[in-house]
Amino acid sequence: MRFFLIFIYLFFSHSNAQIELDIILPVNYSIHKNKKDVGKNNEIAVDSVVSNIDSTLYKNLKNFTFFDNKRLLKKYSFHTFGYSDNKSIQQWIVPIRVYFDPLIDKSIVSNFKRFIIPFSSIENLDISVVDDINKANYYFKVFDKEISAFTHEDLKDFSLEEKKTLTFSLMTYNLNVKSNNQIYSCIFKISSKELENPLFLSKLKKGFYLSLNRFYSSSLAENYSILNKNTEYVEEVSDYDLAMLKIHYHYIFKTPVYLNQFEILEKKYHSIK
Amino acid sequence: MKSILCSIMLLTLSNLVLGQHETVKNTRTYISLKQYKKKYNQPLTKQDSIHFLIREGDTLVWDKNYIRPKGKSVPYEYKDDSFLKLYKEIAFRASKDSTKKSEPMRYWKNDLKIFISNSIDKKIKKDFFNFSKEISKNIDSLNIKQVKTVEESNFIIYLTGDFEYESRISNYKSTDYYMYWNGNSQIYKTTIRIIKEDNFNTSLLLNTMKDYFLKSLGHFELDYSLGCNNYFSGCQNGDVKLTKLDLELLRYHYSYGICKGTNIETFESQHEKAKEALKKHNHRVGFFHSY
Repeated sequence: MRFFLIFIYLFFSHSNAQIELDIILPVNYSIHKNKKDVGKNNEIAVDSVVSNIDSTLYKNLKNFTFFDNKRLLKKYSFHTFGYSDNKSIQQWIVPIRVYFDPLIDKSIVSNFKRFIIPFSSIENLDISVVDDINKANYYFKVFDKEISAFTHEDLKDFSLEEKKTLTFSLMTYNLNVKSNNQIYSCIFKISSKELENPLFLSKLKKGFYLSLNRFYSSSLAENYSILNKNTEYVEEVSDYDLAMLKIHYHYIFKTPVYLNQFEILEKKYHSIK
Repeated sequence: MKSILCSIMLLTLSNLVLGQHETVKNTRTYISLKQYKKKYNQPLTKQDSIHFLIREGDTLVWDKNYIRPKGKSVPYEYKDDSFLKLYKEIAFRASKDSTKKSEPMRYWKNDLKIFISNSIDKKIKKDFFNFSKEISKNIDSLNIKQVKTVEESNFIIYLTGDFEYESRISNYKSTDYYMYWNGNSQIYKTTIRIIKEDNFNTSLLLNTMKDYFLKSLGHFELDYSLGCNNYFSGCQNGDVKLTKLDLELLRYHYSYGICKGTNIETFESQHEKAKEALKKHNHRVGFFHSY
């Protein structure tokens, strides 16, 4: 009897996970042309549409080995979802082509090009710098006015020195997203006076990294990581930052994945591995 | 009112087999006893009873005084359940989230006369109109024209920094559209306001114009569970283009083989009745659309 109850429990818990996971699996439709005779030599189209759930995600799930690293996974979950149930994973679905405003010094551009070299080890993430704005989908643009991600009210308690270190005190970015929340372009706005800030390049690197998923920073992230709130100066991307990107871009989701769905994927992974 | 009229025609003209877009003439209109009593508020005469018609257990009475409005009857267009499920999610915004209410389907009855502001490059305008012409060519009752002045238009596309043609969205931080529809859910005016900074090159701007234009053809909700090769999935990467399925969804939205501007419940019940008639009697009911 006890074994029977355990079997029933396992069967239903498995079925529920399956049903919930189906929500994030895309469906492929195909139209089949059919006809029906309606008398008097008349025929009408009674086309049928066949829908098939795209189970690529299921097939790939066994390769989601990062689910085995509980410590890293917990940190990734925070950097991606924060404390919100409404924040979904956001990924770039096109290769990122970065264009710099000609007002930005060439040495900054060269340094940025070196900064992005390690990103080439990340699957499904392709970043390069282009010289033609028409080939770009990521634009570092300088504005001759004050631009900030914060309001004056937000910044009123910060000293001038503190403001200088805040990444988005004189910069901000807009991500253009599809209906499924995936990213296809970005404009990164920079106040012209920020160009004089000795921390400008470091802040640019931080901001760029965060725009790869609208990551949340935390003081719990490893030291010297871009994702650590206390990291003041960024020269290069850390192993921790790359590990987060590896998890993030391991698989490109076609539908929005929120924390609860991510947890279902984790459970499913452990059940099939 | 239009949807009510459509429903009546479905019930009373179900015995008529009509040709495609054929003008209705020399037909009798029958209504149920309940409808008759409500309309005339007087007892039936012996003469009336001679013309009784029994249909599926219901007694129908000839409505001699019925004056048919000018219009056309179009035979029911069959679609299978799988297609309809998808269509309902897109056209009626019948989200999988059960807490959200569906909305009536919205459509353009009159021609779209599009004005694009002069700040948008001529080459982009040309590419956009080639795209819209292709759609217009494939969909019978959707006519799209380019006009040179705002006064002639009922559809405006403009950029931030231009004259603000639509004050209701003039302070929006993201690209959006604003549309007006009448009591019959017929869209009669739309304005797309594009954030210039976000669309910093030709290709981004053109794709944004196409994207919002397609959405505004029916105030559609994109269904991200659909495969990403389709526009209606909302996850198409690269250029905005229509697949065979996208075109079929649009074509069906503008087909008159079903009532227009209805809510989801009416749409579902009409399909049920029309499918039953097709299955049981092998004929298609007509949907009457007044001019």
